[in-house]
Amino acid sequence: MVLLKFQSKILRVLFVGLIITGAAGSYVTSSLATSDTTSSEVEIDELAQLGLPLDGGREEVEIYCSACHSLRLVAQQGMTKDDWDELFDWMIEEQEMEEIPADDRKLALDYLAKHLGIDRKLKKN
Amino acid sequence: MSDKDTQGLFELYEKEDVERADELVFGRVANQDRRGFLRGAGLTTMTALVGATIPFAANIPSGFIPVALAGEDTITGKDGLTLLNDRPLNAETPPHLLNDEITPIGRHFIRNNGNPPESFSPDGWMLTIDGLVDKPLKLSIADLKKNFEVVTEALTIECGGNGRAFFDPPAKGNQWTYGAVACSNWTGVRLADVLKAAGIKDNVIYTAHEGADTHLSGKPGKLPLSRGVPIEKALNPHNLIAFEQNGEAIHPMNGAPLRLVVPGWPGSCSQKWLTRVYLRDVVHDGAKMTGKAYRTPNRPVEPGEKVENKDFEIIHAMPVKSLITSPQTGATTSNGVVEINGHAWSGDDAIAAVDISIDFGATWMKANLGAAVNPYAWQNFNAKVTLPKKGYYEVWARATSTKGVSQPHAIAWNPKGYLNNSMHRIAIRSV
Repeated sequence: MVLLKFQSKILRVLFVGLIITGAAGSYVTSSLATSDTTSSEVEIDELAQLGLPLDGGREEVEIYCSACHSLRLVAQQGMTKDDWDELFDWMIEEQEMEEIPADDRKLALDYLAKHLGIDRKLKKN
Repeated sequence: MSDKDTQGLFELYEKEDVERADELVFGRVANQDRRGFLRGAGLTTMTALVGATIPFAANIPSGFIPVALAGEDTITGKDGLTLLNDRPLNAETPPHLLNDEITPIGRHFIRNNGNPPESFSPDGWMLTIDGLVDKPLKLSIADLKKNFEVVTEALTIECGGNGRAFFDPPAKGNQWTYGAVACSNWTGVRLADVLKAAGIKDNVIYTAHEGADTHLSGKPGKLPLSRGVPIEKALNPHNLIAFEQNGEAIHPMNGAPLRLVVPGWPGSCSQKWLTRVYLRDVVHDGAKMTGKAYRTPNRPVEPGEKVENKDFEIIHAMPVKSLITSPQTGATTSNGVVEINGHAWSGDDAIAAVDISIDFGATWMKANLGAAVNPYAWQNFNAKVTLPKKGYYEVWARATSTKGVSQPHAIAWNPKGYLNNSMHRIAIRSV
């Protein structure tokens, strides 16, 4: 029976919707499906669902841009590369963001300018 | 499936033994290899909930809640809001869910700049009134209730960035569409009464507000938001230090247990989780008072134009605006007759008229317009339109303020995407 209970928990974690918790505890529950590795399941790219398609630089965006706020905020924006660059500076100067190593900063900026440029289509529910 | 039902489903599976929850909800009993056999009534239940047959029902493991039932993003105590961001939490209300004359708590939008405080309890909550006052005050909520007149007013709160999503090129920030606006009943004491009790010194020109929310970076002492208003605006009798929303405890995400409500100006003037109001002899320069925050250029600019910080001015009153809240956009009518309902509001002024068009602004008809229940409540309008033949129509609403200013047809672009008060349009098809 112990084995059965353990399996049950894994299944529950895998298939029930993801709970997103903010600093103040869980006020939001989300229906984004988790990815699963069993052969009968399709892996779902949550970030792509948010509006961040798979491409070079996305990992850097993921790492550096979700320390303080959710990637949902990033995915809403649409800016020129110059404006993204200026925004990084502002966040570093005014909002306590850490400096990003030059290589990673370039990767992140290139990604943002390409996928979240001024002609980006807003993902509307 | 309603959001409440969805929430209950998750809670049941969290609390109960999974197999027990399965049995309770779906009549599903797990067999030894962990497949849950849905028989008879149980399969029918799940099929009905999902809204389709389930060809692979035999493979569903015990405890599996179909993704289709996971529902929209749900926020505790809120009903039908669209999530723009979860950290910080920002969520707006679809127009058709704002049809009530008084916005229910569950439908009031949420706009957070930082992380909410750890506790929302009124016990022990203190409000400090200091700065350039004769006598600084430290007041509990019980003190406020005991020493000042308690009033209840319907007050319109709108985010300065409501409508930002439609800017082209895009503007930075949360991409609100129509729903960062609400008009609930707020109960509290007048800010003016409390400031006068502390004694306003002669050289005061501005207020400064502080709340208990914390900065996203976690840096101690750094405030995510601290705005203020000119003292003339602060002394308006309709500004409240509020402790009740629609006669109940304020929703935690709407600023419980105590908040400012400064209607008619950007929502950021209505500090949530209020802990302090202090008076200054300079324009307040707290978080989101400087740079380009809640500021627009001092001249009309071209879409996409770069404007230096020195050429920005602080937003004061919000502009005239309206919202069609019924029917929902995309509705159809079989007899060509549609009843239109909505609300209109305008900064520090009232609404003089709301006009409706069904031919893209070529001709207009006057809507019936109600009076505000009190200053700063939105005003309700309705109209019955007859669509002349079958086909696709847009219903446009245009509000005009008592100052003779109407909503524009297009957006006055500004770099930060504020103050979009262009007309709301809904689609209707006569079939």
